[in-house]
Amino acid sequence: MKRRTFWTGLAVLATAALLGTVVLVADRLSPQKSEQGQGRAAIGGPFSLTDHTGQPVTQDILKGKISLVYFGYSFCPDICPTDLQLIGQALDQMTDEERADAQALFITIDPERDTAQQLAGYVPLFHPQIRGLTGTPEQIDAAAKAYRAYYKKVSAEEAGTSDYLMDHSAFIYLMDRNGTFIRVFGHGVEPAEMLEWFRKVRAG
Amino acid sequence: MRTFAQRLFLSAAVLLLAGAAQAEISVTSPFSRASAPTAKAGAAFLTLNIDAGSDKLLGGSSPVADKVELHTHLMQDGIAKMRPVEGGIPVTAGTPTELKPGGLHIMLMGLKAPLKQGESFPLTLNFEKAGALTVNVPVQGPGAKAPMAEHDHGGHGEHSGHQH
Repeated sequence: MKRRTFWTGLAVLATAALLGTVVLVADRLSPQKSEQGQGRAAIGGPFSLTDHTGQPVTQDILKGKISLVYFGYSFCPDICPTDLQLIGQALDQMTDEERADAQALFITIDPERDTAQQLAGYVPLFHPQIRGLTGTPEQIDAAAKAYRAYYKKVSAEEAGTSDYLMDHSAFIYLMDRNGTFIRVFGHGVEPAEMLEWFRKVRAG
Repeated sequence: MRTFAQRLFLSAAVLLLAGAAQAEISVTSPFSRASAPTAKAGAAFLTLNIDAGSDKLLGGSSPVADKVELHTHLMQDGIAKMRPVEGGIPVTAGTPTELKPGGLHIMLMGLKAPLKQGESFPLTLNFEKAGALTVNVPVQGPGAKAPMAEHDHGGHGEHSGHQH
């Protein structure tokens, strides 16, 4: 039964490949992963970007605020608007005092199209408190690497569309007042869940 | 032996019958999302129904965009991938085909003007058998997840008076 062996072999290989991918991604996002053995979370780190008003910013903007950080692109018609809307709803559900301690950052992974001006018209659609961040391709790459965010440009020819597209990881990162990574939320997370975690971190 | 005229008549009758029996497609709950003033792309979502048989949505056009494309979203291990749909979107009787956020959607490529909440635009859909069908698509909030008539949580437009 050579044929059967072949299909069994194929199934085993496919399962192994799938498991491998899951483990890889889980590993990339593991908050327990320590850097240089200091027990520090491996997600987060230095970045140097420009906000949607044209102000230069660094990782220092995380200090003193509890932040929700999201990597996406404004050309994205579907996944990003949904997640930004959920972030906006979480901000809306906070008390004024809570909201004063909160910050939401939308970091583009498509700096070619997402200029500061483009982001200025985009992020406020979802909530006035969301800050859009862009930069040079090198700056964006460094920021994405620090957060282990994945992105890849898919050319129009490759995708078979009239403009290029971006593949990207759709995670919302929760960072505490020191800019330390707490956890990620997946695409489509309930605003109530983000709020619950925000309150936990705020209470210390 | 049949004359040419008889054959022609028969062919015409068959064609007419086929036409009469053609299934009807209905489009329900269309909506779009408000876009940024400089947005180059937008999306439209809707549900397709057919009363009998099957058909295929092949594409479309709209005066608001340079090009209308059929796209879908794949979520693989937390990574969002948007891709064009190959070979059209099938519509089968008995099962509504939903084009909704996170899955199949109609991409408006090269927006000519921003899509503003509260406005609407015509969208022509081209089907393999049924031909062209034009629907009016209302623009909802920028993050609207479903067509919501009474309770629009879709956007921030209605929160204009709110304080931060």
